[in-house]
Amino acid sequence: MNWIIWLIPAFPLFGFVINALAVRRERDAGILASVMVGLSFAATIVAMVLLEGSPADAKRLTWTLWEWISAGDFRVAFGLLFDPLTAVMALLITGVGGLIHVYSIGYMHGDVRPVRFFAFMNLFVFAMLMLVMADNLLLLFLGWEGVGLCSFLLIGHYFDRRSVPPGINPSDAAVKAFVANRIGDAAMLAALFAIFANFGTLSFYDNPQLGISGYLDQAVAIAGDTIDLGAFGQLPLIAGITLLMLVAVTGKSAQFPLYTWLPDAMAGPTPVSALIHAATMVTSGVYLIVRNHTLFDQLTSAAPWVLVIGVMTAFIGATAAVAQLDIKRVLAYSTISQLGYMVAAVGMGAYVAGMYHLLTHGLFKALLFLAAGSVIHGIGGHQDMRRMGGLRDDLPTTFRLYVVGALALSGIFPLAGFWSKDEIIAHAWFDARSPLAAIILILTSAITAFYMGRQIGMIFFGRPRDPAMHGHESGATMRWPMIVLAGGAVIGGLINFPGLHWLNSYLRPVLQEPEVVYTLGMGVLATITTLLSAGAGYLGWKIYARDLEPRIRIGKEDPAFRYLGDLWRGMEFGWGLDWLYQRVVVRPYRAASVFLSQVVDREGIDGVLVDGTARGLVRLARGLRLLQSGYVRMYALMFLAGVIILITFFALRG
Amino acid sequence: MSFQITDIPRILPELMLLLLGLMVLGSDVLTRWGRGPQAQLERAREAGQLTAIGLGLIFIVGLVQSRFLFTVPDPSGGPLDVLLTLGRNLQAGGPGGSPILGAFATDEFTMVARLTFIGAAFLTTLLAMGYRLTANPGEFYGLLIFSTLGMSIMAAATEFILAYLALELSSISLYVLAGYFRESERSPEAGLKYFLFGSLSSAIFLYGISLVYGFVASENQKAGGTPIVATLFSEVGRFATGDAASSPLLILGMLFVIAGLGYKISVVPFHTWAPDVYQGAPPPVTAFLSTASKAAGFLLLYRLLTTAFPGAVGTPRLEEFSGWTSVLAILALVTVIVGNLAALPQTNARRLLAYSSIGHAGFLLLAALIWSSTSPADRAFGTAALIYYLIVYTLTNLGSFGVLAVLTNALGSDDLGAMQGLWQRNMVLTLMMTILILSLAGIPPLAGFWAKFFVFMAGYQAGAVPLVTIAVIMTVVSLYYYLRFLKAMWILPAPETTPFKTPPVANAAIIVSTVLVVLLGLLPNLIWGTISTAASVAAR
Repeated sequence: MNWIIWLIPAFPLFGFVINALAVRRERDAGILASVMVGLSFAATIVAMVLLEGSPADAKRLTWTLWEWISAGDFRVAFGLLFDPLTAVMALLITGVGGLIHVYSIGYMHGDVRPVRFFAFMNLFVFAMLMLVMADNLLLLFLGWEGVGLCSFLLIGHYFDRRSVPPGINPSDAAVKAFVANRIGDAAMLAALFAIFANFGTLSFYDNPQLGISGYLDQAVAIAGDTIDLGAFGQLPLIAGITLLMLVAVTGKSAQFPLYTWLPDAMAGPTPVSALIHAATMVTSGVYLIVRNHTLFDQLTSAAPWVLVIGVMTAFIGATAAVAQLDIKRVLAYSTISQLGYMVAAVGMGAYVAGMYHLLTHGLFKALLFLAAGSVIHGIGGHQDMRRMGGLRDDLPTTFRLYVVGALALSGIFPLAGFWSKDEIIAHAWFDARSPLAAIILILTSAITAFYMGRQIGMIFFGRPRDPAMHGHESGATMRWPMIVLAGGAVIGGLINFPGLHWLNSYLRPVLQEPEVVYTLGMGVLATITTLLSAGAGYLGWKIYARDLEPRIRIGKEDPAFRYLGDLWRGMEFGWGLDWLYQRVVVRPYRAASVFLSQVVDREGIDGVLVDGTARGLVRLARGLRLLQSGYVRMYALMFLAGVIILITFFALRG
Repeated sequence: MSFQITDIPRILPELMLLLLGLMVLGSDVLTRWGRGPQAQLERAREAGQLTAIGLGLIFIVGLVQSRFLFTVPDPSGGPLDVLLTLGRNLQAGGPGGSPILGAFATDEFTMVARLTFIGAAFLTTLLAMGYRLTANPGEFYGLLIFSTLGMSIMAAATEFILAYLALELSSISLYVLAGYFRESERSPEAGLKYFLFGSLSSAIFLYGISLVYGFVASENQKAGGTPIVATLFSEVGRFATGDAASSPLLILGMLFVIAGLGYKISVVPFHTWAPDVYQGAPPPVTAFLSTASKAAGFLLLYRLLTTAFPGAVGTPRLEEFSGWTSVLAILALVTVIVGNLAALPQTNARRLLAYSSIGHAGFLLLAALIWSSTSPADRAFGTAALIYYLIVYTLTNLGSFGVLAVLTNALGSDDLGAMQGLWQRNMVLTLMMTILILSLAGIPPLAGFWAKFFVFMAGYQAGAVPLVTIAVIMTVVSLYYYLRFLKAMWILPAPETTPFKTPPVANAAIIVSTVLVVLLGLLPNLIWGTISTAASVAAR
């Protein structure tokens, strides 16, 4: 029965192929795509049941479709792997993905090219499933690139528009995402090379079917090996590989300093933002670290780079989210910040906590994006929060769902975010013994609550600022997926509830992590955090729904700008990383490109080499033409001259 | 060695060609035709139809006889026995047996060549039927058939006198055909130039033969025999071995023979007539001239060199100049360069294709170079490459000159400028021409690609690496002028957009050759096996 696992990615792939080749109507495309993801979800459930039946010491279903590459020692299986870690990821991808597909049927109604949209959504689900189900790094890399490609294609969904709110050029945004990911991908490839060079295999675990050994089991054996960097000294091998992987993670999971593509990725349709840029693709970096945790285990204590990156990202993302005026950009920076939490967690070795937050975040951030999409949809495509205000009467369901999502994200007791976030913070304070990280994370949590309060205040409270705007509630296909997700956001904390710790036990075959022992200190810490968050959230709401509300005007600065000035400006522009890249990387690169194209290529290679050769040949050809005078006597002369020359050759040489 | 009654089926296709030629001439001359244009048209149509049907029949007879497709089973008492017996008797004259009177070989090589020429003549007839013929159509088609007969014999000849007579038979018919449009300006000029140049070449060729005779006689005398006159290729080959092979007399004779045949295959520097004649001759004649005639020249040259001068084969490596492969290597070098470069500035489509066909002659010579290897497998490969190239080239050029014939007829001009925006005026013709031109340029998956690939391969195996390199570079150069066709047809704006029709018969000929070009490109093995058999026979 193990073969059932290849059905999981096969359904979305089938949906993609049919949608891409055969389907022409919007309705058919949406239904087909949703059904395929739904079937994939069902297959995942079946596979999980099967997984329960497998022996406790080998909680793993594998299925090798064929030997993908076999070149000497380099052997890679096209093999799928289904273990508890894969199971929770696949459940998230197909579950949340299926809901978002259903939601999209309503949201994308009347879109210019819905079939393309659904085809690529299915392709994305396929690629993401390949990423989490691969039994080796190369196949994982296939999925890794595949999701990047789909992200590129879907960000550029409106490629024919010059600008979508808030003034982003979709094709530029798509290219930006692709290029930023490319930096990470290059590092990923280098990590692949390093792993193959040192372990001789890319398989995670032993593949008995083909006799390929796995590298994760050997990680401890080569812990002492080093890479010779010449003048730069020695680098421990594990450190080198994990560092390369970390760079890959900063690209794909939008961590500092490569996160700048994610806010711009909001140029895609909102379901894309929900599925790809919040719930699944951006979490693949976290998955990569968790999957390779035996490598990262060798690292954590000595070099806490992962933790540092995660904490920095969490804080920077949260502060930037405060000053955004576009409804989706707030959520984009919030996603960056939350991804920072996850990366920080796995950086501390709290893999279960990281996965826990990944799952709950997948639920409530998807909910928030869908609710934001519902708002955008309901008011006719506007995304600027200054135009909104007082929408709670027009969009009552959406309002309630948004509040649920916001409370979950802010970590308010007893919603899902509270449990998962506090587990990370507690781990930072008590186990990692890193109070600085913990304090920054608590602060970030408060800021998170603040910007969510601000957002709710600006969107749903106050007076309607745009008299021309009339909101209407979304239809059932959009409402119900949100309601289901909201249910998840409320009770999602159950999956690793203190004392029950189901997720911990479920993932133990993969992660071998001991259960967290809960102490009173943890309770105190959690209470402080929650109170801080609740206060900050109320503050954010009060300022933007009451105190400063009259000063919010369409097209004008945020009122807080008056009080914070340049600090506000810095937050608004994501602390200027884009500005920096523009000046340090993009412009010099463009200039070099122009030089190479205009001067080196057009003048040099094309002008001198290519055209020069052509001109030379044409001149030669003109000369040859003169020989063809049309006179037979001339021709006869050439004939005889030819014979004589040949004879002379022989006379001289022979 | 004497002529037997059983030899008659062996030369049946040639006899049938002769008969057909006489029939076409006779039926035209003996009928009393009216003076009006309608009657003239009828007259031309009748002669063309008779020729086409006759050539088609002869092609089928030749195909059955060659046993390439099937072997007729023994009669088994059924109702079809008469047919089966007929087929058996026909195939009894198929490939094999020693040459008739030592002078006329009927091996697979001959069969392939024969089919190629008859097929080319058939397609040419179709093209000519779609073309306005003004006067004396019986003469036109009769000469076409006689010329085909001459070519058939050329490819089969293993004796100098027969070879010469066949050469003259085909050439003289073509001189007349080239000058067939008496009222046009260029056609008589073309005919006359072709004739003058041909006569000169014939003289050189004859001179070469007489030198070879002298060589054999003196060698025989040296060996203590009487000064005999040996005219068979194989006899010459028997004497021209060892030290005698480098005798100046023999080399001089060989050079003259190569030069004499060089005009037929239009290699540089014996090519000068070709552009003028190709441009001036009636377009269907140009198609025939550039394909079958050239192929016949190649096959005769190849058989002659390999059987009469095997001792003087030498090496194609230019640094150690010796033997006829060196001569061919030099000629190939000059030909690919001059042919392809001179094509660049041309503005007349037919003249351009004339130079391109000169360039192709250079590529073809590469295949012969591999004869310097002593391994029969190598030699067979070279021969197969040569024949494959010839067949593909014949099809492609027939098609493309056929298109030009249609254009000349419809537009009154065959300048590249007249072809501008052709796709708006005749899509089918444009598509066909595009495929044919791409095949000429050697773009996969068309047959031209494999043809070039095989000859380059043969040249490379022969060790002529610098030569092959230059040939490959020249292929790139050739792409430039081939693409000018496509640019004119597809991209440049049309001076006028009124559509015109292709005459159905000509269209059939063009489509047949195009389809074959595509088919042979996708499935080169379709004929490669047959050719390889022929080649391995020839290489023994």
